[in-house]
Amino acid sequence: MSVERLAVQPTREQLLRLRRRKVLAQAVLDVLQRDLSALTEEFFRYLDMITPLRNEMYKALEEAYASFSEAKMLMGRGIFSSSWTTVLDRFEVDTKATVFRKVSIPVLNLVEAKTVAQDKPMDAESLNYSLSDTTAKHDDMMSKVKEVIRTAIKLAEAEGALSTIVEAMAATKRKMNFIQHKAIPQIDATIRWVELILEETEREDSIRIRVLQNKRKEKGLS
Amino acid sequence: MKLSVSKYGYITTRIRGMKASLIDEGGYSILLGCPDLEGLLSFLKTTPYGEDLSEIQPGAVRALSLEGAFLRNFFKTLSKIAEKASSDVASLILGYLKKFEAENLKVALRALKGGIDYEEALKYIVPIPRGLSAETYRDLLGVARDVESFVQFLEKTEYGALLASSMKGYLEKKNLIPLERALDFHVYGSLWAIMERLDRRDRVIAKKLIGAELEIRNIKILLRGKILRLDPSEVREYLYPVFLALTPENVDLALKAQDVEGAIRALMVQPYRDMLTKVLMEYEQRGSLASTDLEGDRLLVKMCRRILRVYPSPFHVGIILSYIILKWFEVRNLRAIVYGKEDGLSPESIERLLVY
Repeated sequence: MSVERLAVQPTREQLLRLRRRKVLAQAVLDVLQRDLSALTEEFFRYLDMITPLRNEMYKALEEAYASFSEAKMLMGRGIFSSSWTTVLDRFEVDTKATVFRKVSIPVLNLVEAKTVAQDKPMDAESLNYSLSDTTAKHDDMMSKVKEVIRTAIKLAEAEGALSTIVEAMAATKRKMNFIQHKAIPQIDATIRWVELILEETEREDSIRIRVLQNKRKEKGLS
Repeated sequence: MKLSVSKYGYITTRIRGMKASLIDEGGYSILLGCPDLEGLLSFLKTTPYGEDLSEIQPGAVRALSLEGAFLRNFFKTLSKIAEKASSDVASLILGYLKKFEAENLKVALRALKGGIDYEEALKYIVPIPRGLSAETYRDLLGVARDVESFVQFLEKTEYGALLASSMKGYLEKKNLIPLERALDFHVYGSLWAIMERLDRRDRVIAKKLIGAELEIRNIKILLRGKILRLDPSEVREYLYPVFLALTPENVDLALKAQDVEGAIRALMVQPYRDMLTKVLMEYEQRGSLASTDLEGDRLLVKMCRRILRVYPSPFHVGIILSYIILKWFEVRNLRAIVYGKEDGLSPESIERLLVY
């Protein structure tokens, strides 16, 4: 496979520059290799988290659904109308990002619209539903639904991080491939070419000198 | 005695007949064994619910439509009893029915607050006889833009003034709880006032049954408020001030209790001791108060049966009220079965939630 040379003048100065560029490219390649290793490690860390989180979410969903079924059996149509107002503005998702190896990984947190400190009583309005028309099973269901949302957000965070890491890994790999298979071979080819030209010039110069010396000797003798 | 015989002679005889047609354990076993809602429907068509269930189109058998039919049957039954009963007992029955009208109004308020389409909301409203009609709900929900305008449209009804007076709370908190609480207290207050006008023995019996229902409701709310860590003063606002077996001191102690166990112990008076012992055991094992719902209802059913032994004469309001409460639990059981079947739950899981 022929490699395209860089457009440079075949001089000693350029040769030195090209050698420095090659060292730099090797250094960048090492850094990228280290980044890729770290990203791969992080990728597997998140990958290991996904299955337990998925199982946790399926379990939470199953429990919430069973609780919903039972609450529905006890409350009948009332459970539907009570949900018309309870789903409004109860939760928000706080999105932040943490930087790992220059990759911005999403961090998601569940924020309840009205949070109350553990040691303080909660006001009835924070519940968003009336105690008189609902049942204790409904309270259980609400806390289980909250658990579903919490695990779903944790799962979304892990899956988001995973896809960001995969993208970053692909980009790093692309850069490495470019340096390994394009930039370094190009520099190498250019170095070889410059060296060849310089050697050729050197040979021509030495022949020219020898010819001149011979001419000078011939003139001296005559 | 002569007066009671003429007052209750006809109606209690009819009620005894109606009581015989309540679904028994065998009936529930058949229903639980039905593979789907269609099978359940064909069995129920042979019961007093048949007429109301015949309105359901064969392709539209859903738990919600079945629940609507059960409720319509319940309301019609109560209305029929009220027609044959003396005026004071009829007022009591119609007062009891108002509970369900309050529920309908709450559905309408929630639909407006939640921005639900009025056609959708109407599916969840089952009007009571001699109350606001289906057409009225349709008109009100179709025209009202929001909760405020809905309350304004209700101005001429018995709920207008009380809802208007609670609007301040709604507007401040942007939460329906003040309005819903006002409706509950109005219904209970009216029911209590009707009971006060009954004859002495009827008054005692009615207070025992409806009072127990209200006290059990208060106990459930109080314990849930405790587990949800609600402010005691806010929980108190939910409690309807009825003190039959419980005293204000019991309630105060329970509200001030540090934890759920303390609150349960503070409320352990007869006839709630056994129920609360079971609730306490369940809470200690699972950390949940879900058993309060069922244990409270089971106690009420027991009390309905016991009242007939305490007052063996068939000429009193207890016969009527206990039938109404038992009929209501039958509707609740049928509702539980249809929703359970619709969700594909096992007969054992459904049976755990039945009260009989």
